[in-house]
Amino acid sequence: MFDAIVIGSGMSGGISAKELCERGLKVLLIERGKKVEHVTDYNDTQSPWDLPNNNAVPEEELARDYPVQGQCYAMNAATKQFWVKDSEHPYITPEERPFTWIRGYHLGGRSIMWGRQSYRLSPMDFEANAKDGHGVDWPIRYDDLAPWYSHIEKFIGVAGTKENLPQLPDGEFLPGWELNDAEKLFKASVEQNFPGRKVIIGRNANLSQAQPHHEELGRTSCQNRSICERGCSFGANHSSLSSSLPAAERTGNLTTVTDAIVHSLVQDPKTGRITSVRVIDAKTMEGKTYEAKVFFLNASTIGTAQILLNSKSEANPRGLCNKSDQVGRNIMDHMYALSTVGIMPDYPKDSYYRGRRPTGIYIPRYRNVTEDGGDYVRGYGYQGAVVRRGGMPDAGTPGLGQDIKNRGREFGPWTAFISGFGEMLPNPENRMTQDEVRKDKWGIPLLNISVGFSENERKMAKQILADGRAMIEGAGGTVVSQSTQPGPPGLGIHEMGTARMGRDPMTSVFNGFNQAHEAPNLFCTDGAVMTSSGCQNPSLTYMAMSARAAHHAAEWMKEGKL
Amino acid sequence: MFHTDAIDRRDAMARIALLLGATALPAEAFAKSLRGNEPFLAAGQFALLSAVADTVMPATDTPGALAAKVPARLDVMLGAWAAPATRDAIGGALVRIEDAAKAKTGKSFAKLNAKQREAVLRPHDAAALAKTGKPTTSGKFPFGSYIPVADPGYLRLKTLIVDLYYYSPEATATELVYEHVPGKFEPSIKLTPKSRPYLGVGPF
Repeated sequence: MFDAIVIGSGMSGGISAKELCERGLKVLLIERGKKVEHVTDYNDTQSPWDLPNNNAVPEEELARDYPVQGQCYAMNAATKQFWVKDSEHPYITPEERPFTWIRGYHLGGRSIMWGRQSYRLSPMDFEANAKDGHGVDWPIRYDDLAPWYSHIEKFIGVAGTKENLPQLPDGEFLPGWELNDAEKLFKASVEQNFPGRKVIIGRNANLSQAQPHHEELGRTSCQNRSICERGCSFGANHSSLSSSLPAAERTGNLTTVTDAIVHSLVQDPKTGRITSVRVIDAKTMEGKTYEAKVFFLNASTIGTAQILLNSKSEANPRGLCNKSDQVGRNIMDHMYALSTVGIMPDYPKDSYYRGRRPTGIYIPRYRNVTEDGGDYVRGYGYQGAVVRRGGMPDAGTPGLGQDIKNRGREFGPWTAFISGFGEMLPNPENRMTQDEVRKDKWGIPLLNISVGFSENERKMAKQILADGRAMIEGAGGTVVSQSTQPGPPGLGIHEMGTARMGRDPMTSVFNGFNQAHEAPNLFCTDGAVMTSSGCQNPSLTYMAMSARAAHHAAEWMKEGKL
Repeated sequence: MFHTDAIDRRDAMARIALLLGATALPAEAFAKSLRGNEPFLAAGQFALLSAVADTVMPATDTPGALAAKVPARLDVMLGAWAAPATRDAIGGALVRIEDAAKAKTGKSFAKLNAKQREAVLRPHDAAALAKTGKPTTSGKFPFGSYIPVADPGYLRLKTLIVDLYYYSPEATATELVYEHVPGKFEPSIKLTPKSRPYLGVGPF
């Protein structure tokens, strides 16, 4: 028997495993996908011409096997191995309420391909539901998580600048990347034209300056390649493979199994305790059971709720820990791809930059903070950059030979693009359920996932685009393209909320210690537990909650309470 | 003018077949040396592709498409990457260039000298890329835009030639700069007459 079982090896599971191992617990880490090795299994040393088909996935293969995953910007020939084949892992989603489910089933999960933007939620975010009445109140406040944010930032390495903004608390930062000359001008314009708004460098989990505790794990400073999604052989960005799993392994307390699909959890109806986890070998279909004293669900927002729903029993006909009927509900993402692109004709023509910075600019939330939101609640931030147009000439312009080469050699105008990330409200009708008929090849019911935007989100989306235009035009730019609506829910890859935390067992699934109301030795620290979504990229919060819950679980075990 | 929609696919394929059956072209020997053991295009068509690539991106003061092995790399992509519709679109575009050469000179495009090729391809290029509608922008990161043109197949062919050219060690040594491992990020650099733009890779 293990002391603890962690289900899922991605962003949150890697940290859960590390924190539990470091506290002396014997941990079994269960990953449903294949084993991949840090460095060996990356395609990050290849120059573009060394990659097959100019880094494009064959068209028929893309259409057949990756119709959903292919929508993600980071999916290409160099990263193909890190995305599930939709053809092998189907789900059902209605045409009028489609959910784009972006997944990676392998050791390390999406922590390999993630966008690395790392922001704290703020006191305002933890109070939002209580204040405006949407969803249920968070059972924790910012101060509960603040020391754990610090703990994680130090461990993973987050580059950023201190800004002293109440809506975006500062953290333990490595030196932030610098703005280029055009971004400095854009910052000055936005901050002058719209007092209260700020343009800052994006806070990213790349090692701007590796510290000794990073180097101990074989990690080195970032080389500014910005091909992070291929996996980084320098270990310069945080992932389970580069960072949390090596830290867990060096304790000698970690056992990992891969190709092990969790079917369900088994609960003792008398005590409410989870006794074991049922696993199916992905390749041989063989069933296995693992026992432990404590269980951590880190299977990702949808995966975790799927396990709970599939763990139904006579005592729990609606699924495990689901007396509240909240498991699978309240799916939130961030509204994504609300982008505005503008040419900045007056920005310096003699200035350029060198290297591919692995982050962009960030405009922290200001609506319903320093500026009124009008007819909607919550708010949004922007991510983007101001880059010098140039490089690859457009083949669509008539011309041959020297014409094309001349255009390629020109330094074009600076181009600003900013893309809004808007907060979605918890809505119980945005939900996933198990299909009653169709099953996957391991006999687990397929999921129906149905998510739509509400009136609040539609109003906010309009304002995101209007503000985007106003900021670029206010900085002297000409808007050349703008999206008209957000991408489908899911494409922001910030899905969360399917087994929310709360104080009341009748309206929530996990308590303020990420402990199941209905199973004292079951914890969840992935996106499923998010009570509201904020507008900040959420991975840092999952990791902070993982460390905090692991700390409490280990303490309680020591004290004989678990 | 090109009306790609009006071209019957079987008709296009039949004409490609005719091309393939044509007697050995002068460029064939060169074509062979560039490609691997199992080329996708037959020799005649590959010679045409090579001649087109060499005319779109000729050697000037810097290397051209042939030095960057664009025809061979594109041939590999036609076999390993392109769906049938893409192969047809690119094959059709090549046929229309061949037709234009025959109409203007009575000779196959690949048999013309560089100057004659340019005289055929330049007006063809301008007509093929004439805009036929308003551009539409994808809402998807990184906001690709689609501009309808008279000959979309030609646009795809030319885009592949241009992309493959720039993504080559030959072009990055002389045209756009590509550094696989930049090391440092330098946020502010003064441009000089010798400065060359960087070739992008990835979202930023």
